[in-house]
Amino acid sequence: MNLPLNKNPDYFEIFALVPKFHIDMGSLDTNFRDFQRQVHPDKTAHLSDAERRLSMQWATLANEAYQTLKKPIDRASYLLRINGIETHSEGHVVGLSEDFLMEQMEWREALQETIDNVDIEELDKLERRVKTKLTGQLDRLGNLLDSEQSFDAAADLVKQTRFLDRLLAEINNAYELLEN
Amino acid sequence: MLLQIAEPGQSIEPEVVQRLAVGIDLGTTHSLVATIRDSLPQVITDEKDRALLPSIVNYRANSTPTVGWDAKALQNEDAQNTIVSVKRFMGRTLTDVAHAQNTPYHFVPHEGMIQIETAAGTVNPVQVSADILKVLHDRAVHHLGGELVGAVITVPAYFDDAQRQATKDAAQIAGINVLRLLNEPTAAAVAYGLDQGAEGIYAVYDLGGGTFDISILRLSRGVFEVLATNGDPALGGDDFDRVIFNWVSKQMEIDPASNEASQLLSEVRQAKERLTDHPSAKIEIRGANGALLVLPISREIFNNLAVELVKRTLTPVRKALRDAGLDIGQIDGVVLVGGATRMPCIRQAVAKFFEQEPLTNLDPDKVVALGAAIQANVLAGNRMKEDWLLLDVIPLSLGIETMGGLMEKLIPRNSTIPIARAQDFTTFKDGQTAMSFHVLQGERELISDCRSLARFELNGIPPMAAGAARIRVTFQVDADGLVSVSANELISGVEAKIEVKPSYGLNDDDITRMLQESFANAQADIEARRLEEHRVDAKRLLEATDVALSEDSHLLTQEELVVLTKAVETLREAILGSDWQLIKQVSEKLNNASTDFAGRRMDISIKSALTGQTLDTLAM
Repeated sequence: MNLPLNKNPDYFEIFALVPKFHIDMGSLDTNFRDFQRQVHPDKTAHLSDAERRLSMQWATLANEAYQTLKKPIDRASYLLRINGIETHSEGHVVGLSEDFLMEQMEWREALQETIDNVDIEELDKLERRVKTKLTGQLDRLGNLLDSEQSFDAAADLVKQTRFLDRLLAEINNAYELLEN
Repeated sequence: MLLQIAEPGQSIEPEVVQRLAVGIDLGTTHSLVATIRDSLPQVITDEKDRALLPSIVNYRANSTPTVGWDAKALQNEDAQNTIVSVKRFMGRTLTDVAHAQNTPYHFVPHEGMIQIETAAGTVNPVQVSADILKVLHDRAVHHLGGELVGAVITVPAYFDDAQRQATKDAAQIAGINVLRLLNEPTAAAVAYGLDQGAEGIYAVYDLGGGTFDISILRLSRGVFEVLATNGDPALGGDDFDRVIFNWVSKQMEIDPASNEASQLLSEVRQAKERLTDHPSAKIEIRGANGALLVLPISREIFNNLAVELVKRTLTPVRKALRDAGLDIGQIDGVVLVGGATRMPCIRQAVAKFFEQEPLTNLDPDKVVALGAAIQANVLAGNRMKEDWLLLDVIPLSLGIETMGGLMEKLIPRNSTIPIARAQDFTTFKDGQTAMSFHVLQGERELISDCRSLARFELNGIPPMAAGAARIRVTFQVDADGLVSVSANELISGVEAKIEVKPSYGLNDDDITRMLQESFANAQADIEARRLEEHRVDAKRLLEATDVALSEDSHLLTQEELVVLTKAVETLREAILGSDWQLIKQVSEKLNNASTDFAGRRMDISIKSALTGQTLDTLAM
């Protein structure tokens, strides 16, 4: 009487969501918590080794799924993956337009300048510009994935957003550097 | 007796038996143990009704260690055999500990974890901590009148894997079953949140005797979610004593290595405590010539001396806020934890930084132990009126060494635990059957700036052409924040064997040896002790099986139920005997017999989670 439970459910399935880029973040939060309430290792700490091990595995999966779906770029990348397209997480410049790469170089130079000049105001401006660009790209990504279903174009855009995301991380590091 | 023995087939009522469990705050300067009594958390006091146990152990030749207040009394006359603030040495080597030269101890030159030469022989920080834990454990057993199911032991949120593992090892040596290692600020948030019914985003500022943590949590509808944590594992109240000490010894022209100096340190502590409620204090000591030296110190002087230390706590606070993606204005409340937060200079700095008065309704010395007791009660399987969920994070990024001495991050800091990450590797030589890699924790790019956790040696890779093998290495961080590694070769399906060489921690042989030494010291029979340990484990397993059977025996076929019931009966008989090897063997059999059952029970939980969600979604 084994249950016909899929041992490798996809991340959307775990949280009872339709596999789309635009998801209800409130439902994601609520369903994640409800799921963890069932499987979290704190619920099985007094049970047998086997139950504790399974509980850790399911809680790990739920955390991974939640983190992936919570972040727009990772969510897009995951949607592409379940549609058979792998987008690598690190620095693949193949297929990126020259204009985009030029802009990236300019922004990176600008970032270095703000660090050299200890110029927090300029850093704020740069951060705003990058964030605006990223927001625009994520909107387009949503359309490509949900409405147009143009997965190849979406995959190219995911690569671009990863660049922007990394740049934002570096801007974050720069804040830390300048504030100390 | 914690175990209710039921006749086979007869179900027991799990909530009738209160399973005994405690929360332990193993602090740098003080430790505490707490439990739940009449649904309320309370600290268990000693025979003189004292809640705090000084985290001090004195070692003398041919004698059991002296722990707590009695050891504190020996601190001045027998400084080199009286270990204070041992928490600072946990999972650390001699080169890690900046202030080693300021201590009176004889350190043994040694590459691994610190070792100290005492009159009772060489001890390491894990053993010293175990000696403290034993006293708290005995206090709890005596007070509660029965064996404990286990304990939740708190650790600074910013503790790395080596420090966490050292804490868990200490508990094992003390004979304590660790239900969970819980982060101190999270424990405080549980105690505070449940007590006050708090909702919103809270910052827990935890300055203890030797460690500083900041955690940002979201409390909502029974969920305690850590958004970010940061800290300094070597900054605490002790350091404030040190700055006053340095200033006073300069003013009084006292040699910091002299006899007066250790007398001075306790004077300094008293003066610091007095300055909490008074504008000034006096420091008095007897000089070498018998004359009384007196030095007044005002709160203003102290605040000036402390200003750099106070500032040092705010850097991690800023980092945590940034990692959580929050502004100061979004923080609904700031909870102060740790005795050192009584200092007015800390309260002022925190109020100024967060632009609001911090919350101090709970005793900052006790709140961590109380939170740990609440969580221990739940983890032991006792039903509570409220139901809540803790989602904690890993404080430091986890990665491996790549070419050029760089660290590649696999799991970023502040990821919710448990978490796992898999990475594929291949061989670079024909017929290669082994490979090694180096696991690190930290935020910097160069491995020399990160903390080395362990080196792993993978063996048993099937010989193939170079680059043909695909070895998937999985790094798992469990709910205690502890890291484990497993590996298998994907093409052949062979599980590679992993040999762990912890960089700072103790290997299994060390622990076995220390366990034996510790029993030898207590003059207990090793065999008897081992029997007792296996009996306790077996009883725990029987109890877990009883719970599972009483809830879900309908998930088993008639034959499976017979097999399982038989295994239960065999184990029940075995624990009545005195053959620990038999108990171990039969326990393993029962464990194996219940593996499928465990899987089905988990499937039911997940199904019900999924069904619940579908209903929710439909209702929307």
